[in-house]
Amino acid sequence: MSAHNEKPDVQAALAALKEGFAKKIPAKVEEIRQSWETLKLSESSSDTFHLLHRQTHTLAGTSGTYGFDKIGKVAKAIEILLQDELTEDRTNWSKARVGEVEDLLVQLEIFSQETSGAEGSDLQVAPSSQASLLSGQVASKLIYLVDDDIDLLNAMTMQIQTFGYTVSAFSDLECFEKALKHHSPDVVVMDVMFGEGAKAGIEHISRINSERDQPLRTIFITGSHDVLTRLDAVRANGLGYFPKPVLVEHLIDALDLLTHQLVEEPYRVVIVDDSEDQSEFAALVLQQAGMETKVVNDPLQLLHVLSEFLPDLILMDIYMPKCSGLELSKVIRQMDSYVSTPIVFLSSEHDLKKQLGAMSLGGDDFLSKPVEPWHLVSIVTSRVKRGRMIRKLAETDGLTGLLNHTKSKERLESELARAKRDNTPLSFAMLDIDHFKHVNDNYGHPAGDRVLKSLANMFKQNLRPYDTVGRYGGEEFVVILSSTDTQTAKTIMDKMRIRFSEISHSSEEGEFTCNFSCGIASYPDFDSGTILSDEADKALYEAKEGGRNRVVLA
Amino acid sequence: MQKLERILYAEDESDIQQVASLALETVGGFALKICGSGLEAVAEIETFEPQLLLFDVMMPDMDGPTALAKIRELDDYESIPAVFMTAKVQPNEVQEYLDMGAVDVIPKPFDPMALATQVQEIWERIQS
Repeated sequence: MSAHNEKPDVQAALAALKEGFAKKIPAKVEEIRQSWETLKLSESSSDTFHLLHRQTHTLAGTSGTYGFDKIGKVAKAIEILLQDELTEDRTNWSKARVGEVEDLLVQLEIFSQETSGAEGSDLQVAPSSQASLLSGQVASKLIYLVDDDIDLLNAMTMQIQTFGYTVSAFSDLECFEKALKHHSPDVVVMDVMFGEGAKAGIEHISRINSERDQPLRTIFITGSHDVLTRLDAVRANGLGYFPKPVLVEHLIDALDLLTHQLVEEPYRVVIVDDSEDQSEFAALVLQQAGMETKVVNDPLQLLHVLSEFLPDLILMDIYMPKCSGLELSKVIRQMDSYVSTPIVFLSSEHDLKKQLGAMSLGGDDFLSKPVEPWHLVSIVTSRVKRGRMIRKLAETDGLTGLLNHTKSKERLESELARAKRDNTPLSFAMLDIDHFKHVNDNYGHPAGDRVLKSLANMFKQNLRPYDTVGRYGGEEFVVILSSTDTQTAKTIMDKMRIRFSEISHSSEEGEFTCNFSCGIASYPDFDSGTILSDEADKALYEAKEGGRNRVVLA
Repeated sequence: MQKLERILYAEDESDIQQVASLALETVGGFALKICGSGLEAVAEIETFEPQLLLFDVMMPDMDGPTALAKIRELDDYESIPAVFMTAKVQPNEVQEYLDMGAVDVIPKPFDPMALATQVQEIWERIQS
C-alpha cells in the first residue's frame, strides 16, 4: 500500500503541484506550436527539429506524471511521429506526415484550453435520464461512471444508456464523491488510474466503503493487467474487473447481474399444516429470514392457494385430517405447473422407512419436528435456490435469459386470457434481426451471440416488468405487450428498432451495427393465441419484403 | 541489510523534479540530491556520496546512460546501483538499459504515491 492514507498533506501538496502545472500547459503547448511553425518555414533546421522533439517529449512525460493523460497521449503521438523522422531522411517529410502533426497539434491546443478553463481536469457531465418508453415504467437503474478519459467517458455513457440505464458520468474523483452525498447509485463503474495515482480509483472506493454501512457495488475498468491491481480491486470490494478496451456487452452483462440481484424476489413458501401453532412458528422463522409465507391450515384449500401465490416451495405436514400430506403431494406432482416445485415434509415421524416412503411419493426432503430454526431456513433456502435454477433452465433460453419458445407461447395464452377477462387490449410482436447470417459469417458466431444478447438486454431494460420478451429461436424474438393497443405497440417497437440500430457491436473484425424487422398483431383485432401469432408472422414477412428495418401492423 | 538513505536523482524537467521530490523526500523520507543534467550528476556524486542513482534517460548536455558510464569510471563508484526512469519500456529497450549496468527501470510516467515504494523494493531486491 502507498503512504496515501497516513499523509493527507502529501495529497494536498500534490494537488497544488498539479494545479500549478495545469496553468503552465497552455504556454508549453504554445511553445510547441511556435517550434512547429518555425520548422515548417526552415526545412533544414535540425536544431529546431530537435527542440520540437524535446518539447513534445517533455510535455508527454510531465502531463502523464500529473495525470493529464489526454494531453500526455497526444504529445506522445507527436513525439513518436518526430522520432520516426529522426531515424529517416528528413527531406522525405511527406504531406501526409505534416498533416498528421497538424491534426495532433490542434487536438493538443483544444485539450490544453479545456484543461486550463476547467480547473484541472474537472468535468462533470450532467446526469442524463433516459426517456422512458412507456409511462409507468420502473425507474431505471442509476450507474455512476468515473473515468478521466473524457472521450471514453462520453462513448461509454452513450452505450450504457442504450441498454436502458441512467448514467451519470464523472471525469473527476472529487465530483464523483460530491454526487455520492446526494444519491447512491446502483452500481459504480470506476477507472483505476487517475491523476491522483495509478490505483487512485481503487483507493478512493476503498476509503469511501470504509465510511459506509453498505459497500458501493463497484466494477473497475483498467488499462493495467497485473495481478496485484486485480487483488487490490477485490480487496476494495470490487465486484467486477474489466481490462480496457472494455467490451460494452460484457459490462452490460455484469451490470444486469448486479442490478438484478438487487431485485431478486423473496423466496415464497407455502406452509401446509393443520396445527395453527406449528405453522405460525415455521412462518415466523422463514419470514425472519426474509421470505414470504402463506399458511394453509385446510389442506383442501392448497390447490387454490398454489395458483394464486405461485410458491417456490411447499412445506407440508404429513399427518393432517381430511387428507394426508403424502396424498396431497401426489396430487401436486400430477399437475404440470408444479412438477418442479420442491416439497419438504415436516413431521414428527421418526421412522426412517416412513420418511423414505414420503420422499418416494414426490417429496424432496424430510424434516423431523421439532425442527431447529436454522435447519429449517437452510433446507428451504437450498431447495428454493435449486428449484429456481431448474425452473429457469427449463423455461428460459440459455444465451439470452429470455423465455424460450414453449414458455413464450404459454405466456401468450395466459396473458391473452387475462386481457379478455379484464377487457384490455394486448399486442403481440414478432421480430427478426435482419441479415443475421451475414453477421455470423462475417464477424463470427461469438459476435453474433453478443448481438442476440444485446437485443435481449435492451428489451429487458426498456419494457415494463410485466411485459414479456421471449426468444422464439435463432434470431427470432417475440414481445407481448399487455394493455397496449396496436398504435402504441408500433410506437414502442419503432423506438426499440431505432435504438437497437444505434448500438455499435464490436468484434475482432471491427465494429458493426444491426437492425430488425417486426410484425405486430393485437387483441381484440385477433382473438386467439394461434391467430395472433400467425398474423404477426405474416406482418413480419411483409416487413422483410418491404425492405427490412421496419415495423408492420397486421 | 543496509538502509537506503541517499539518492542522487537526475532529471532536467523542473515539473517532474518537484513531483519526484515530493514522492521521495516527503513520502519516502529519503535524502535526495536533485541534478538538472547528467553532467551535474557526475560533478555532484563525490560530494553527496549517494547509495543509489536514479536517472532520467533523455537529458540535454549529458544523457543518463552516458552519465552512468562516466560515474562507473570513478573509484568507489564502479558498482553503484543505478535505476533509469524512462517512457521506453519495451522488453528490448529495458534489456538495453540493463545491459548498460542499470539494476532496474522505472516506467514513466511514474505514480508519485508509489515511487518511494518502488525504489525501496528495488533496493531490497539488490541487497538480498
